[in-house]
Amino acid sequence: MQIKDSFVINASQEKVWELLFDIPRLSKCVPGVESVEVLDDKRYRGKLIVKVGPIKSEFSGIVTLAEVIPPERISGSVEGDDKASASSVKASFSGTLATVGAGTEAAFVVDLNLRGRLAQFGGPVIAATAKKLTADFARNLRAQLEHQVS
Amino acid sequence: MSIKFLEPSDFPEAAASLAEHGDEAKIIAGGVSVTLMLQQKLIAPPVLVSLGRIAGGDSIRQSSDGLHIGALAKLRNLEQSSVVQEWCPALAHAFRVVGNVRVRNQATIGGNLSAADYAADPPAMLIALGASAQVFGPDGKREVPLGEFFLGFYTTALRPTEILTGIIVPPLPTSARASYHKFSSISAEGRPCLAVGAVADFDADGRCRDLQIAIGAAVETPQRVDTAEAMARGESLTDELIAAIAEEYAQALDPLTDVRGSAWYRREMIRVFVGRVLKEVRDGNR
Repeated sequence: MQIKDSFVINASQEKVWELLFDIPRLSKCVPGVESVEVLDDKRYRGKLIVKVGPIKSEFSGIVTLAEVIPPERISGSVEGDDKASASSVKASFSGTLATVGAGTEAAFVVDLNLRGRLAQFGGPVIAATAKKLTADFARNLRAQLEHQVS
Repeated sequence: MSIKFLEPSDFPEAAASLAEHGDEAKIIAGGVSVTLMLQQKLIAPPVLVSLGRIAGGDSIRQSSDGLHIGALAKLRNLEQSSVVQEWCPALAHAFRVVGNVRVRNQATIGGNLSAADYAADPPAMLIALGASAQVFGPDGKREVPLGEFFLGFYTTALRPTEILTGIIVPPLPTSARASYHKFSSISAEGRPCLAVGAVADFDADGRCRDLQIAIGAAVETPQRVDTAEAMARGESLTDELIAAIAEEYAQALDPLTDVRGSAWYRREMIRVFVGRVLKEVRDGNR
């Protein structure tokens, strides 16, 4: 399934780009991040907790960047799994930043393939969860970027 | 893995157990959804707080302020209860069409509502009837209208240390009629593709005094459409008006796509089934 979303942040495109590669600060913005480890300049290992109602899934996986064009575009892939529910996720993503007025629009497209017992919840639940996580991510980015003294 | 199984004898004790164990504890009532999730290893709570030994938790009784249903009442008992059947036959019907008899023998109304599975029958009818959830927590009791109880997929307004103890269905005027329609698109399965509950009150001339229609299963949380309900007020429910209200429902909602049907299909079915429930309440079949 495909997930597409975008949001606007009142900060310059350079500031937003800079934060995307500032792993400790970025980790604080991604909801549910437990840990991030830099493997090399293209690969990161991470652990993410996603909650849907009573179900708490812990995904461990590797993010591989394929394309990095500062300060406007990144793409790559994610592979991970949640051992407890015997579920795995494979996704490719691309994200773009564009200056709109005084702010920056961040847009992304994720092609997601979820397998295993979690997949039974189906598209609508995954889409709604993605939307909520995106909204939380955008709010956290704003908190990081819009209130700092530049 | 062993699970600590607690069996409190009343709701305050159950709430205290939840407060003590926090995130580690899960409530279990009939066990329909909890057991499935445990079996599939989607949840692994170290502590289960069973409500099964709470005396009187399954009571079904009528009083001046409404029909009181204990959270532990089984759906099977609700569908067969003469109190429920006399109170509102459409409500008994909404319980009778859930899953199959084995599920209904085990499932409780509190569990059905707390699990907040969108593909469920009772919520749409209960919301159309204006029912409220009775909630017990560390700060005492509170009431939440069921229309505000469902916040999203598998998510309710219950706080982590709160328990649903029952529901209250307010009295229905003798001039009112109710109807529930379930539409299943997959014959081998009990879950609805669409759930429509409607309650309409009529004046002596047969004009509609008030109308509530709640749509469930086709949307993330049950929905009413105020603009469509308002179209009926003070009017006779002619076939034309019914078609217009059904159209308003179909257009105002944003249905979801899953194995039971696409958004387009569900929109068409909303139009059809809102029309059917309205004709039924107008013609007084129930």
